[in-house]
Amino acid sequence: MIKNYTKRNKRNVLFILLFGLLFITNSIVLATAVDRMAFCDLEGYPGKTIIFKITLEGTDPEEKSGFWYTHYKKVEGDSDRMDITSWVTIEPKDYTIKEGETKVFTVKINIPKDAESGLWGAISKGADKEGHSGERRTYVVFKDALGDGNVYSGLLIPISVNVLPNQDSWAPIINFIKKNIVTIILVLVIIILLIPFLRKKKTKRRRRK
Amino acid sequence: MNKINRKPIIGFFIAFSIFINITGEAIAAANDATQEATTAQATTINIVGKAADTTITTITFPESAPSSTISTPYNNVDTSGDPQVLASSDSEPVVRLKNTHSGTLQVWLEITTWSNGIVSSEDYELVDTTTTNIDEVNDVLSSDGNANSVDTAITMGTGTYKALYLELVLSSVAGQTGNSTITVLGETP
Repeated sequence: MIKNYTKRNKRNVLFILLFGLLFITNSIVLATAVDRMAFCDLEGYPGKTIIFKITLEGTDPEEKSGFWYTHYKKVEGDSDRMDITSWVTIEPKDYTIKEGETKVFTVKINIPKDAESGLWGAISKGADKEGHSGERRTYVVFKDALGDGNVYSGLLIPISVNVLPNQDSWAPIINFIKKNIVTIILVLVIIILLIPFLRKKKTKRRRRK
Repeated sequence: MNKINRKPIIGFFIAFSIFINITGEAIAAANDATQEATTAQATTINIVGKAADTTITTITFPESAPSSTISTPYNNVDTSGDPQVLASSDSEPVVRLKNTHSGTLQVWLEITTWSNGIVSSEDYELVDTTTTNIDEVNDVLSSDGNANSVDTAITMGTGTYKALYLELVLSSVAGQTGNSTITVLGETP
């Protein structure tokens, strides 16, 4: 009887502890989470579109409402290559999110046809690394707030694009040959060896006829 | 002259090419070792009450005379009974910021334009929570009441708090209520 009582007591204590833990974790983590903190040094050709996904995860039991937008950090003396906010679109723009929910967004970067090759949106490569915030210029930003609140919280995600020189139309073919050079040579050798063999077969058939 | 039988040669080359393709992959696979690494998700900065870790939703500046300075805003958790206090000792912020992200974040503050043109300027002070001698708020958040973003250049380590003080100067507009939103943004430093 005493044993049963102790067991029940232990169970109750454990239940209370676990229940309490649930409240502690809920009060600590109430922020919105994102799966990427930077999209720097993306590569693309003029006239092409770079597309990638970004995911938000809600950790607040209450629903938050938010939206995405672009931001250019203006610094005196910047060239016109630094503001690429007009290249970027995020879909969907608005969102609501709550605990346990994940929302996926599509970020599209439309590189203009006349964009010159080189880095755009940041003053140097590797601007995503810690200690390089001064080199970033263009960002995608998300922010959200609880209910009808006027206090928002969000994150700045830097974007930079390395525009490549106009693509040579032979480049994909050359790349394919380079990647499969051994197989291509073997196939050629087989074909070369097959030709006289097939010819001989044909001549034999003709002779028979 | 002896005739060369090409059949075995062709067969050999076909078999050899298949062998190269298959074993090439197999050898590469045998030399692979699995590595695994996981990064934690990045999270936004929490804006919480003066004492409790409860997320706040609104900051309110009490009514005051046109052209006056308001330095006693309050949040919805601590309510109007416990507003911001500016003092050379025992100062209290309007809200605290808490970094729950797994890395350090650099803090940006952003406001939208005050409606009805009721605000002529807004300032902020972002300090460690142990600093309690804030009697002046003079870092510019908006010099004209219009929308603005400010990179505070202040960083917050994982799990740390900062105290945010706000102050605004009303414009000459009388008998009006205005709204604006304030945003706390984080960035990898």
